[in-house]
Amino acid sequence: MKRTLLVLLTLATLLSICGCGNGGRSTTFFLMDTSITVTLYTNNGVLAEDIFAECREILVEYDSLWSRTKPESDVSKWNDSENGDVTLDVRTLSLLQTALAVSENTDGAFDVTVAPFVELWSACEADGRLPLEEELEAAFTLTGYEKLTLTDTSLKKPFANMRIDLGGIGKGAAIKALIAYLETSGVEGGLVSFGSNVAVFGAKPDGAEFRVALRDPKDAGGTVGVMTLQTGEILSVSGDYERFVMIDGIKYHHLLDPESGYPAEKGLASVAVIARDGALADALSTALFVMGRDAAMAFYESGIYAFEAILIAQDGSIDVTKGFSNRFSENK
Amino acid sequence: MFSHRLSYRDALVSAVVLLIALLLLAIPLMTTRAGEWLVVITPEETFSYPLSRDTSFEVSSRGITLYIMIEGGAAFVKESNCPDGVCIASHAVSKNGETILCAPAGVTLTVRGGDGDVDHVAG
Repeated sequence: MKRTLLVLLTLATLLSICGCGNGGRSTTFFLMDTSITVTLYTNNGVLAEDIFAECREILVEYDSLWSRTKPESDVSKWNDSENGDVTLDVRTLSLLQTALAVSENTDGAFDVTVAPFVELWSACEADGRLPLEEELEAAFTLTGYEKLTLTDTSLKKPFANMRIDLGGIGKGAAIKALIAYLETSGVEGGLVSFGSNVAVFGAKPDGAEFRVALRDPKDAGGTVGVMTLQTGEILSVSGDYERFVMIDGIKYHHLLDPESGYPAEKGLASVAVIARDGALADALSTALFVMGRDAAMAFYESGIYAFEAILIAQDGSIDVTKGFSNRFSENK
Repeated sequence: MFSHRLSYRDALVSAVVLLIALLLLAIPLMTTRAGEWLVVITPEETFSYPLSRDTSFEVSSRGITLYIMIEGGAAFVKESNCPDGVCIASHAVSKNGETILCAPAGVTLTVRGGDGDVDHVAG
């Protein structure tokens, strides 16, 4: 009896030692045109599966609202409308309000109406040529956030062919909504990744800080440093390596400058923005990339928005805003 | 409960079991690489390949076929008939959280496992 108890006790020790490395339970969805991974630090598999299912439902709903390819989405209905007289979901209106405010405050460096340029570059890739001047001119007439008027229920547009794309801001809003749900889900902590958008909630099993490495824009297998991310913060990264078109063997990245219609070339290779507003983080990462280093740092200093940023230049040099310098450790 | 002193044999049994426990803990720590598995997710299925063994395989989805290679602990898309070619242009992935995405095919290749000292790689 005594021996049995002793063996059981040591076996319990064995199991507790082996079980202490709780790496979390993960699931991955393919929604909102990206791969989304949810990691939960819990040993309760049944609870985790229930939460994963709810996460999926939440994301399907946002995808249904803001997809450019689903015909019944708010975005598709608006894009297909004559003058924008479409009743929009309150979440879409709220997102558009943020989008237009960021557009205005960044002097158009971020612009939700840039879709005609994106479509033009895709068409040119298929033809294997650069956009013609007259094509860019035609696209210019259909872009410009200042041409839109947001009302209590809709977004008015002057031309039927104007189109919006919430891809540069919607993921940030969706990840924020997902984290808000996860914070009430009963799980102590976890991490959500939309690839270029990352957020954490709660605490890790060992109580340590969440550490997120930032990819090297010049070497996808490498990283440039590590930051700590706190619950409630959302990290959004925009880089010239993420998505692009290939024309005559040359890469043209997807971060288009609304002023020129061409990919922004202001000396930056990647921009990471950390903010508590996910939509803001998402939109600002694009805007700062388009602005370039000096204008981006001046924008930060202006204090218009509460955010921090890490700017990686084409030459590999890194600038970190002063409020984040003690939370980002550059690789030596 | 244990009013008597432990015998030599009891102590030996305890020591052996504890040794096994420590070995079970130590083996994964000694063998863990920067990333352990390539998790392949398609609209129809999810499966994994160890990054520790060089291999190649095909994944077909939505009429698109990706020819994926694992070499030297990293995975990349060698060939594809995908119209946008983003997956081929993507760099090889080897660290936990790194992902290659083929949106038209609805396929993601994500490295999972391997603790390293970070929870995620962003960007």
